[in-house]
Amino acid sequence: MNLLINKFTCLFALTTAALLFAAPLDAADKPKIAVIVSTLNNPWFVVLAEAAKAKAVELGYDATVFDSQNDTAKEASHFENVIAGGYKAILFNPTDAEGSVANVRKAKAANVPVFCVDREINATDAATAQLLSDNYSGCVALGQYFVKQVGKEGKYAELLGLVGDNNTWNRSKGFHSVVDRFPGLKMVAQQSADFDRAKALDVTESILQKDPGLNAIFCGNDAMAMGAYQALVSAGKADKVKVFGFDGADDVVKLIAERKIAATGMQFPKLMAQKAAEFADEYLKGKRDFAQKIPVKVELVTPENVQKYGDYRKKP
Amino acid sequence: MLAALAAVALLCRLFPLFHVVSLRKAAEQQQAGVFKADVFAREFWATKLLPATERAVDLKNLLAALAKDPAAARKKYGHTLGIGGATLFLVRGSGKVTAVEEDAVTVALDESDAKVGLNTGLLFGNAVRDATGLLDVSAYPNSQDFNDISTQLNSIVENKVAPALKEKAAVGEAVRFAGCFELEEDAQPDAPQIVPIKVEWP
Repeated sequence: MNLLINKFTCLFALTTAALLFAAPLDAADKPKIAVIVSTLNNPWFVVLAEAAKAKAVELGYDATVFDSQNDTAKEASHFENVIAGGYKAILFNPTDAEGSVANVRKAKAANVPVFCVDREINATDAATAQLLSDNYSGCVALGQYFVKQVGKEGKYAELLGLVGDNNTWNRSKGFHSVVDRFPGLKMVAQQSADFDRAKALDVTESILQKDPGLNAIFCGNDAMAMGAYQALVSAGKADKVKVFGFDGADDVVKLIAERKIAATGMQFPKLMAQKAAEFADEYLKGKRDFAQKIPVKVELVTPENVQKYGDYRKKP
Repeated sequence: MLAALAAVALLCRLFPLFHVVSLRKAAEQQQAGVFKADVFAREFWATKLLPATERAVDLKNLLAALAKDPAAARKKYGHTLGIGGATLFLVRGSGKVTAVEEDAVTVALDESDAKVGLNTGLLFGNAVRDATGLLDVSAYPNSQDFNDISTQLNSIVENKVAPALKEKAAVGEAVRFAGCFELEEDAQPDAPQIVPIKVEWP
């Protein structure tokens, strides 16, 4: 009996030792990069996070994705864990332009470089570099297309994203810089749906009840465009109300090809995420002179050119 | 039980679970507040942009260079913001007015076969802001400020330059101009549309 226990103890100890040492040994060889992303509850950010991780792994790092769930408190605790965990760099998609600055400063103080992806922070002396979609210009182009499609007269609603995020307002302001020049285009509702599909569905339903004669809905991202479209389908109005999104998400690009959604702005999440990983690699190899902000072009996707786009990029 | 409820109520009052912020207030908070884009744009126009037009590339030479080697011409004479953006050029030229329309004045360039449009309609985009390469997006913590500069520069063109151009333009008139020209990444300069900055009638 004793022998049996001893055998088991031995086996157990060996297995534990193997588990303890084998896995970390492999990972310990590689420096670690953290990918901290605002939310994984939106496919677009999943693409962003996965692309960043894949590129970091390809460059020889051990990469882990952390989901902030759109919560700056969760984001702060990820930063603490990442700094304490000995990560060498952070590829960061912030939750809040103001609220996330302190987290980036903490990392900087601990000599961990931060590369912002897609969303900016309101500071130019905290992150090492920020790769940002040119949301404003993208929505200027989208606004011009909106006027062409809807006409110079009509009623429309706008669904805004998270009100603490600069992208929300850069998109909204780019759009309005065009559309507000046409006094016959009346905005009958402007509400936030937090970049969230389910919320956009609810908000659109209530807007439709209040204003059944709507001609168009401009949505600050594609998840909300999908929610708005879903509400229109349920209300039997999908062919009467034109939906405009922003992101270039695959489901929306497909609906543009079917002429069910009018247009979107294609951002390039894979390109931005991969560049950020490359920047981190260059930094860790000694490079220091990075431009603080690098705008990445947004391209207008319409039924006329939709065949050129898909899989979150321009087809080669 | 009551005491517990009262304690929870008190806690919620002291530390509310959420704050209601109106969209208008949130939008106002987003406007960095301290930056006055209109003042900045007027100063930039007078002290940087107009002087820079003296050094602008001659449009007929630029068009010839673009026809010969587009990539080299873009690199030599233009500016691009970030990754994948259009190339912006600060240009000058002279020619004769061949048409005056609602949104554009067409000019046949001197010593060239090219016809270009001087935009007098609604103006959108960043051609004026970015054509000189003198403004750096990295200097603006909140990129909304940087975008507001475009809006304000465009409004100077719309409210000052374009009306004066439209008023004097007549078919057959000789004209000298400086302006900004935006060329998309894959585009050819077939019918260049120039945003006018300075117009003279020699």
